[in-house]
Amino acid sequence: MAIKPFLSLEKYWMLILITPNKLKRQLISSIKLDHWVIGCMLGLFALGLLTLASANDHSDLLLKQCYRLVIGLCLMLLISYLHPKHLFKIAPWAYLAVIVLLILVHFFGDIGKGARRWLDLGVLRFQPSECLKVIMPLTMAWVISFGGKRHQTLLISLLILVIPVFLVLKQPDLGTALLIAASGLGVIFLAGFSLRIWLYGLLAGLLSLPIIWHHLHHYQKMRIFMLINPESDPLGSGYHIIQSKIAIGSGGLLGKGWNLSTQAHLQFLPEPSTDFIFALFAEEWGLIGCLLLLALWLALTLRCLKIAQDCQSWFGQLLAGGITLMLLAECFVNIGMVTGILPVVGVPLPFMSYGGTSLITSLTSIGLILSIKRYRRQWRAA
Amino acid sequence: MKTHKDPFYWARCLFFLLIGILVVRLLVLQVIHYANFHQAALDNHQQTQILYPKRGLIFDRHGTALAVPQNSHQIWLKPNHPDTQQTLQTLINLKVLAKPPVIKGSFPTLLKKHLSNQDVQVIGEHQHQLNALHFETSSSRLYPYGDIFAHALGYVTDPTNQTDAPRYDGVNGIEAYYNDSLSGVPGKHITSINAKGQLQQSLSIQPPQSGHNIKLTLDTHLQTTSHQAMSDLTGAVIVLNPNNGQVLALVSQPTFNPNLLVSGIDHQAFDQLAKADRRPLFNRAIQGLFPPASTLKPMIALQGLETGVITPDTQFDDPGYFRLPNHQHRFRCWKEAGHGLVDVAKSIVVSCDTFYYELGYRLGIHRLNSMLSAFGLNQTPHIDLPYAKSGHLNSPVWKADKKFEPWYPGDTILSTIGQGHTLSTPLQIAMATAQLATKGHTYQPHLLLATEQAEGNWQPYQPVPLAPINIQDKHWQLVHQAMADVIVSRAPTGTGWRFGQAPYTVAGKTGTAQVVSREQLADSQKRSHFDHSWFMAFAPVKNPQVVIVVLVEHGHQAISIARKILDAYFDHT
Repeated sequence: MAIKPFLSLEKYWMLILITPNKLKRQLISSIKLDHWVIGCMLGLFALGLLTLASANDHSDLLLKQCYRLVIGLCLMLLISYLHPKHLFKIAPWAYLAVIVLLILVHFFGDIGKGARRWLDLGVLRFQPSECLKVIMPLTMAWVISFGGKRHQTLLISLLILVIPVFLVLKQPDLGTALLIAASGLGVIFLAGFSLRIWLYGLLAGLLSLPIIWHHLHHYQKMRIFMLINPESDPLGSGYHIIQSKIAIGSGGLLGKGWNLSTQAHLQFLPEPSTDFIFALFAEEWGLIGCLLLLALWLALTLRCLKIAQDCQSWFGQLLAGGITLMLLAECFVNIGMVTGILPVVGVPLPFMSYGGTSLITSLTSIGLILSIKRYRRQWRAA
Repeated sequence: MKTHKDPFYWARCLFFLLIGILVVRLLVLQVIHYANFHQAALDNHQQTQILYPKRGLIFDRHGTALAVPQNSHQIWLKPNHPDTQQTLQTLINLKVLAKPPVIKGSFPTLLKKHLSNQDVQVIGEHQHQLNALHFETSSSRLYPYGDIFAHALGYVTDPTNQTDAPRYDGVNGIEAYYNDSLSGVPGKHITSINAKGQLQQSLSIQPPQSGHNIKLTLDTHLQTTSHQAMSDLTGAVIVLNPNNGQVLALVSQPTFNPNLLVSGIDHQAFDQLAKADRRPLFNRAIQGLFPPASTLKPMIALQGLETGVITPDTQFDDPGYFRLPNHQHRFRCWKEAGHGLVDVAKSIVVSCDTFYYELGYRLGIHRLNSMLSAFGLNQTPHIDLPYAKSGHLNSPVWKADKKFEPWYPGDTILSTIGQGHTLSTPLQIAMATAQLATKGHTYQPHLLLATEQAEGNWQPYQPVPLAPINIQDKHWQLVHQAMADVIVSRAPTGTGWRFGQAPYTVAGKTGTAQVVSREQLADSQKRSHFDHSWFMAFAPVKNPQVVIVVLVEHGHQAISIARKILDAYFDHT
């Protein structure tokens, strides 16, 4: 007879069985996560993993993503227990740290795909610009809730917004810069400054367009040209967008079926695991699948907005709202890019695209929203 | 609490708006433009290769191959391929191509056709550098007998000149007439390729259906003999079996080499061929229009006998000319001294023009033409070759229609000796001879002997009888005998005496078609003013098996050529 190992799996299952029901209930109720948010998010993850499995012949990639997902979910759970008042305290320091890291990137960063975005810290290699997706709404929420609804606050918050946006733009990373700007402006919008300010802002923005255009890189200008007329260079700059549109369009109403993509499997569609994962999804699942996906996104973001609105502290409202706006903006920019209504800017689709950084950022964002839900009652900043 | 000024309300609106924009965009792509993108996705990864069917072979009546397959190689450039530049540069370096081609849009571009064996070998060795190249092998056509069968067989086009339906198509002759049967149905091979142009899998194969093999009634030995007998003369030879309409030899000289046209000669060389002085591309046997001259005489004699205008004993005096009543103009006989008293049999033997002037005058143009029409001289013969032409008989209606001139009595006189506006093709004269030989019971001329419907299953062609000509047998006999005497009679000397003694019996009739008037010819040394010579004959006289018609332009050799060919026919069978 074989000797059973001392620590066999069965015994742990036994542990669950012998745990008293009361304790079990207490444990589960202490987690207290929002079912809507978790449900929609897991749904998106499921669709993402399914599409990733189709995009890659080897399961290594899929396993790696699952592994990251588990770590990310644990991180999310931990963050959901972090009280917003701590966030309120660390906000300015986090902002300063990120600015320093961005400057470091500017001088010592690694170059990948023609842009200086990566910072190698020996054990960890990451993009500080990604952190900004969380830290920007945090800082803006902090500034506005600290300064109140005054013109000075608005000016300071705009200044705080412009510095990192400029640094990211210099990397150059137009997509992330736009997203950061959008999330910052979103927080300002949610703060409820008067409508007249927005009109002035819009006017200023329009006036500055020629200046921005002048400072764009050649490849960025080409991407905007390609958006207007991708067929002008079908083998060069327009190739990605043409192939992506063919993939989505050829999916039709019902799609070609899982693992039956021709555009991705025969390598016509570029980057089917990362930036263009939506095109692959749309090809295999058709309009029906896409509507399901967008419905999940709408439900998730509306629920997050509801959580923000229900929060009793202004800081919490602004932070949760800003993060939600950021998530939806990422989704819109990515899908807009692969369907050819926005220029190709290299923004991944949260919860679905393959990649650790994006996954961790998205889950941190959800974690923050869950924490705001958990501690929605009014608290006083220390 | 929630007023319209609440920023969260506007944020919610914004969310709906953004998702709404995406939904509309997806509707546009996936529903409205679905068909376009679906096709674009197929075009991306599906590659269709045409599978050429095997074209049917052509054999002569004894099974000798007259048209056989030959492999031909082409190279194409794949459209929108990333390695296009490298491929072209490699081809130029290997000296397969002289200069880079003009690339039009996203279609495959033909780089070179009819590659030499050396080119094929070089391309095979450097295949890894030629990713954008599509190599294709198709079956081309070879005519082993070259120019000998050119006018009968015709030739096929170069399929690579066409873009939509690439296949060989017959342009002329048998190749064109039986093209549908010979060409078969092309197949398709659809394969899946990836973005790098590498083959992934085979999606569907629709095999080509081979064309049917056909056997012709032509006899290679007889055809070759006819071709050699004509040597460098200009003219036509038709040999056929009057009992079933099978054409045994069909020659038109000068001729051309069809193999040159298949492998694709340039426009200049083709123009040179088409516009050459003696027009080698022109099939004189079925298209050439010549005055039928004295070959009409046996038929006119038959009409005279049938209508009772003359009897076998009727004699006309030939002083060497004929004069219409109340006219001064003399229509001269070919023999200036005249033939004296001439009956109908003698008129055929010596080919007395005056006799026919008199007979024609008495018959009138309508009765004259009705008999000639019955012999098929006023309509296109139904032969299985394209572009056969019809001659015509001069008549008051025709002359008024085409020449806007009134009919004169002299026109009738000239018609009796097949001059004036009356013209015939050698095939028409051959069919008239076949009617004479079979006493009016011959068949439509044809070159198809049998079609191979399936392996070894030859379906024979069923000959179609022509409308019979009802003439009393004694009149047929008289004309047959007279035509036999044309060859053998020594007193008076028959016009066909040059045929000489033969081991078989022959009935024939000569003809000399004037190109210019006698007076002009006497002064002229120009070859193009010389008379054409006709010879029509059938043999043996009893139970004729073979009919031959020879036409020599501007030469007198028709009889001796016919002798050589008939000798070959009787030696061989």
